[in-house]
Amino acid sequence: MIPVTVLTGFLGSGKTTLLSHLLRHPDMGRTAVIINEFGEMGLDHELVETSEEDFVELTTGCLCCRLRDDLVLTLHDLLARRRREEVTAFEQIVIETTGLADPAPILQTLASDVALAETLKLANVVTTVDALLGLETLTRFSESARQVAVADKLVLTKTDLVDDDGQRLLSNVRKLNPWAPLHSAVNGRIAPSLLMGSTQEQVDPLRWLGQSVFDGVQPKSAQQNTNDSGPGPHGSAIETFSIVRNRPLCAVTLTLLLQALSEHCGANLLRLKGIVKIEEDPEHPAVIHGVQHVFHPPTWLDHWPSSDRRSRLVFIVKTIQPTWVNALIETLDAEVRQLNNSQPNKGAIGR
Amino acid sequence: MDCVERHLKDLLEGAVMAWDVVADITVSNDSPEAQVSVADGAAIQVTCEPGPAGGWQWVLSRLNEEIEQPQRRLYPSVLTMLRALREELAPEHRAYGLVITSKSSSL
Repeated sequence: MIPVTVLTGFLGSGKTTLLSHLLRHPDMGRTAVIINEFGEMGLDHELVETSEEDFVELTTGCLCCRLRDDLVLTLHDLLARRRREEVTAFEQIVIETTGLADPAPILQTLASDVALAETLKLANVVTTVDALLGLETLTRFSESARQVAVADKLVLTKTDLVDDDGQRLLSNVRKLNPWAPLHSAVNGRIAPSLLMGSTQEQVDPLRWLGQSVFDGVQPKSAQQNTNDSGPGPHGSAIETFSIVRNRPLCAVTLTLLLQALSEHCGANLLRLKGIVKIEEDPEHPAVIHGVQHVFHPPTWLDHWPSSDRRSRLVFIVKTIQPTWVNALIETLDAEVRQLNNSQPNKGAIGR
Repeated sequence: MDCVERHLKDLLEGAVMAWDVVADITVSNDSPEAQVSVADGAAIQVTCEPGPAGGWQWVLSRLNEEIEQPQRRLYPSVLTMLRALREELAPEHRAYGLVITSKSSSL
């Protein structure tokens, strides 16, 4: 039996960071990773570094909603390729869900496909919880609460960014899930054995459906989960869009853009991540990602991760229009370029 | 300034939506000028015009009912103009400051 770990957690809570670190560990050799990205254009798969023995498969759409069949097909395809020795004989599978996924239907899918159940066993559900923003997201988003509630292992991330002891967050987390071991990981650093380790007892995918621990969290009906024509269970207010741009952005423009988004969007900017081509250093793309108004400093890559050298920004938002973001970028960049032209010594970039 | 003219409608429509304000945006066809009208009848004129240093500047203009004259306020950038417009139209909207964490992500 091949163990499957489902890695979940709300948008920006550090799933991809955690996964990247785990995959660099020698104990994580021969891991097949399935990354599910909820967006027009996925980026996570380009940002996860793997060893020669690991590899990443990508699915789009949201696994918990309309594309659960996609997960089943991907898993069957992986297993078939493994049997035909077309891929590394992986010894475990990690499924990274989208930040908006309700993991329960995914677990249900894994358990309900008879053919898969003969080969795969659910080992762990690992949920990341953002120590900085987790309290608010748990309150505001039922998906976040469900992710915590269903976890076998909880990982508190970004603990280095908070000053208090996080007791209110921990109290809320424990109300939802009083029994999962809770670890902390700064920048994804944690021993794989704590999360993947020995295979846990089989998780019953149905055990959480309708559980009383979801007090205050609206349950989702099966119809909503499978309805292709109606609004999705994430609610119509949450949207995702991407902006692709050929022309590089001035470094100052990027800073001003983040400032404007933080100021005017705030909590409605659920997640922003992107690879940005910077005018002053176009060979080294800047990787940005932020949650709401909190951003990491850009990470500068040594080179573009693929032949696609365009700036790509992925937004997951509420009530924010892509046309507005695009207009903001164009106007800000025009202003910065105009200023740079009038003051040619300005606009130098610092790395 | 062509760029501003091209994007002015999207810039203002998206902004008021982000602030959860219902407003009617009317944009001039031949100049970077727009009128933002809200439900209570108030209207603010948004104009981008040549600035004194050779670039451009933003102007928010609103009728001062006491003197029955438009009151003009100048802003050097789109950021400052949007901030002022938000304070006019959605003063209760919570404005967040950008927080850059002290550490890079590992990505």
